[in-house]
Amino acid sequence: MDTERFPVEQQQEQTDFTLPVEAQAEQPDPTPPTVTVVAEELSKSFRSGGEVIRAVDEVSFAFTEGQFVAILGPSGCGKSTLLYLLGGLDKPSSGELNVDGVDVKRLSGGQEHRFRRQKLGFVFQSFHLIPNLTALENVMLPMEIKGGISGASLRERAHTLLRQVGIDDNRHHHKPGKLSGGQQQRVAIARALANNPRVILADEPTGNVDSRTGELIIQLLKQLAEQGRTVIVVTHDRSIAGIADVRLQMEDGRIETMENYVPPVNIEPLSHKKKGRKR
Amino acid sequence: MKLLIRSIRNVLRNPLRLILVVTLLGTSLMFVAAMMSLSTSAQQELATVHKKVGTTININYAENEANSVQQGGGSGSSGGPSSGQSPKGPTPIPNSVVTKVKSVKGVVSTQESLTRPDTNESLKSGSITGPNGREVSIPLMINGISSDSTNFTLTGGDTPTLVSGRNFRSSDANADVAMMSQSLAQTNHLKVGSTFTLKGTRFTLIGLYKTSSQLSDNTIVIPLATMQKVFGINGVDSITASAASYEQVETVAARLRSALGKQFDVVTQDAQYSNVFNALQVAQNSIQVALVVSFLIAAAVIVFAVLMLVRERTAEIAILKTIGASHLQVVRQFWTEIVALSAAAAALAVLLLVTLGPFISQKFDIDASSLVNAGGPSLSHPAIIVNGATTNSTGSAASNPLGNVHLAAAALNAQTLLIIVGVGIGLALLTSLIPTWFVSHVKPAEVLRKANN
Repeated sequence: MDTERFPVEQQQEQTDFTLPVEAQAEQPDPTPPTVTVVAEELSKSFRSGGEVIRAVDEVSFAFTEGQFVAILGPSGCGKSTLLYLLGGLDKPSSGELNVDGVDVKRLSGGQEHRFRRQKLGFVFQSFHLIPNLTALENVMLPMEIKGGISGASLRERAHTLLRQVGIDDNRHHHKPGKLSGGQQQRVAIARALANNPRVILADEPTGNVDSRTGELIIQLLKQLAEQGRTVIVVTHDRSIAGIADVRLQMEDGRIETMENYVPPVNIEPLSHKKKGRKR
Repeated sequence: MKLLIRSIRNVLRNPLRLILVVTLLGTSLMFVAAMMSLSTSAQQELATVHKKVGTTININYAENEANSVQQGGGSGSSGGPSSGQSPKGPTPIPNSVVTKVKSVKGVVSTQESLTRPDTNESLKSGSITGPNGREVSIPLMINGISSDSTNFTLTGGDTPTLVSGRNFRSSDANADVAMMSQSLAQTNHLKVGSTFTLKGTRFTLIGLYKTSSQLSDNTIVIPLATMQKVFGINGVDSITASAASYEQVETVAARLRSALGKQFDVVTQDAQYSNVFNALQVAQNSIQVALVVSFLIAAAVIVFAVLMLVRERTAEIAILKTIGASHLQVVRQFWTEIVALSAAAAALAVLLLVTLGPFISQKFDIDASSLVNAGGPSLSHPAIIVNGATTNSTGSAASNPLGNVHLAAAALNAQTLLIIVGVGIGLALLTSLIPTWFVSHVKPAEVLRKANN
């Protein structure tokens, strides 16, 4: 992880950074990529004023490592709820969900925390950095929570991650309030990478930054996918949709369209796995 | 960055609120500690006062009876002039009355004493320094006490401490033995084992004591029976009757009144010191009210501080949980913050207690000496004396056994420090149990959803 580099400043100069997703699909790798996220008929219902609202309604998909997925749709269509389900922040009402080999639906309280700290990285529209911690400390925080790393190497890794996302050393000790929106979002991405997760979940990551900074953030996320992570982004941003490998269009909790979606060849249905286990 | 440092920095996030909370909490904790300390002190003083005066009963000649006995020629033989008494001394209470008192049901012990001046000037007496700095010669006093007394009080109210030789024994009841102060012995070139003559009787000095007053130093102590024999007095100046417990005093006093008749005043010390008891009780009640109020304020301040922390930081907690913090990690962080806050308040409370403790104590203290009822044992009559506190034939001032009743100042000591730290941190942890439990179970998705809306 320490050797990872994101040539951020150079990328700012690039104009065409969309990756040939379809071309990739036409030239499959001889070893199929590992499936990281599998959802089968995943649903989430809420009760509001005596009425049952199906925020996520029987969605199914499977994504592999290296995929950059954009979930699109109007406000209130269930995008964020789907993201929270994928991140183990919400419990599904029905269906199956497996993230990086973890049966998310059956996680207990303690396992949920471990799952989130080990398998996932979160990026939010409002950055959600801890205001009285410096950029460096914000990045160190998930590693401290996870434990097992000495203070010095933890600090060094946080510095490395901040450099990778394009934060100059002289800003590492700045608190979030002293950083611009784009810098804060880059710190948030560095924090998401702190424990080297396989899956990155981003909720409107460009929603609070200007378009130029937004492009940079998109490039960063794309780079993360290219390095083998599964990056799932909920967004209204068309430019993100433009470079995404897969685009899911949601409407009223359902996936209406799945652009460029090719089901992984090596996927085993979760319901079959469960039945097998029971037997 | 360790949990503690992170927590301290979180506490310091809002300096104005920190100052407000720490000041309020610190002051409340200081009051809690001061009031608990004062409450303990008041309880101890009450117990001590009960112990000192609570079980004893004074028996005097009634005023009219004393006069009539006096006119009829009491059996007293010597003593200085004093109002309402024979020129030769106060009218002694006959030994037969002492025997009667001892036989009353509920009287567990009696203590008698007899005091007369040494008019023969058998020994050289000491002198005291007057207000003008001049030496004034004072008469030598002879004090007769029960030979089985292990603790007695001398003229002037001083309790002596044996420094050489021995105390009286039961076998000394009729013996010609004496004790005196070290300074009086030195004045007369006497030591333990020396002999001297008093009223024509040769006494052996068996013990030397020291006292803290020059008046008390000028006393020779001999067994009561010996004194009665030497001075030809068939009675005593004073009797102390003791009941088994404070609760039995009034019952025993009633029996004594019944047994002795109107000729004697039977006065309980409880009645005499009722103002002191009342004042102590009022002080204790006030202290307890102040304690409860301080405790409630401290609890309210902590609850307020915790709720503010929780309310402000719900989103932050949701983020912590999103990035993988467990319930326990969240609770630990909050508790560390609350304990850090309480520790700061406790430190302030300690400082406040050191500076304001004596002042606060003064506000709750009582002046026992001014509260003793005027209708106490008459100085003009032989009387029962509490624990040997003496009224005597020469009219020397009775010492007030409650004169030194004061609430100990609320000062910083192991107890108050423990109260401040224990109450501060204990209260903080206790009052934050529910809020922190709530915090630790915050559902990140719900918080994030609200934040996005």
